[in-house]
Amino acid sequence: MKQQNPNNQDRAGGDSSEQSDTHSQRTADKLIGHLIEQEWQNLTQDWQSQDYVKTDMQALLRRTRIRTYWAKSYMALNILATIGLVVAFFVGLYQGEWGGAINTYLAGVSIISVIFSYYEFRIRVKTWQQCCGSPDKAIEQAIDGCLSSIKYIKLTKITFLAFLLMINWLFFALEQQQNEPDRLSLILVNGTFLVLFVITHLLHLKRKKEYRELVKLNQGIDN
Amino acid sequence: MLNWLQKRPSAQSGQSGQVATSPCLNQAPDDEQSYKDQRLKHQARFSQWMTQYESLLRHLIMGFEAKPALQDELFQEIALNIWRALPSFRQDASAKTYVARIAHNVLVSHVAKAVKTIKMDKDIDALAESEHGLTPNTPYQALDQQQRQQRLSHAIRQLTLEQQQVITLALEGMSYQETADVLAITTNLVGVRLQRAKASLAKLLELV
Repeated sequence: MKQQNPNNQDRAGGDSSEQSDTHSQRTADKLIGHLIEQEWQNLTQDWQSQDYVKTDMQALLRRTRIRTYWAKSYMALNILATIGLVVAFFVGLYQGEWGGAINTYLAGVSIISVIFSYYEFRIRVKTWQQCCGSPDKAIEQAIDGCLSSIKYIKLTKITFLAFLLMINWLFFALEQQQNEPDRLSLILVNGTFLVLFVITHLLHLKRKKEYRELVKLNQGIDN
Repeated sequence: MLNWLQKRPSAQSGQSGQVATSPCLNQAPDDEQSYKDQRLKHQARFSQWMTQYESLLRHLIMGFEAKPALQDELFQEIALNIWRALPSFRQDASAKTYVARIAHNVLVSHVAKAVKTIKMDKDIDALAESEHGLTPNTPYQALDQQQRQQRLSHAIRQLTLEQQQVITLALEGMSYQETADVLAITTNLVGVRLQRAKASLAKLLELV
């Protein structure tokens, strides 16, 4: 007579108990699934009958047009200002009446402004193109948007510093030409630049914090 | 300059065939009159879509954000994105899918950016529940409709982001194919995510 190994018996007993557990689990899942499906119609009805305040479509259209208009106007103004600076530089150079200091200043700020406008255009157009991508990639897009914003802020800070250098140099050059120091204007201009720089820097810190949170969230989803 | 910017195609191509980038409204106008006509058409379509899909958009927003003030802000943000994306809409595509996709992009970005806000929303939800005399243990079926709707929105906001996405679209009556088009994922994945989302929702609502 063949003797049965008690271990095998245990295993067989264990298997049948596991099978029974799995079977019960499946039956329970089916029952839960059935109950959910039964309740699903009620949930859908509750969801779709939620009240909301009706939107004034004319006001919404007006607001949307204004927001689009301002976003584009801001960029257009920057480009127009850059064109204005370049034109002023050539006028100054052609007439030769404004003096070397002002001409040099205009040349410097024209170059800075052209570089700034070029990068601003690229960053903004990229941001405007992000509205129809896949929502599954929306967090990556939000990270991209945040990075674009950080780049834009860095660009603004660098431009501020370059402008500050140029304007201080202009004051210095004019002072030497005219022998009349205008300390008040110099302090006012530097003070304004400092305030603007601090505001931009605070925005930079805020965006960096947002970026870190987004990356953390994205890593959480990937895991 | 501004006209040129407005005519630029602004969409990226999705994985689905429904939402595509081929321009239909962004051909260069021959003259001033045709540009005006195009602009009027753009406005008319925007108003039509916003009226037609207002309830869809409002409900989707409620599934992601509890604060009424932020809900309004999100609605306007979605409207702005729809306005910008309109020139890229292909005539033969489904407007509902297109609008829902834009809305989901904005909402997911909002959730991604507002981790702090979500924490605050939970407090607001808890406050709202206590104001309506709800206790977390009240069975869902025993509540009146307004309370059920509140409990449902609250439970949806507690789901994972992926589950929130599929469940809000399914509750709006969208098919697997439409949901797949909106989220740019396969229908199989929609099925898997939806089953998990339903099971989690049932647990949160204590249906089972």
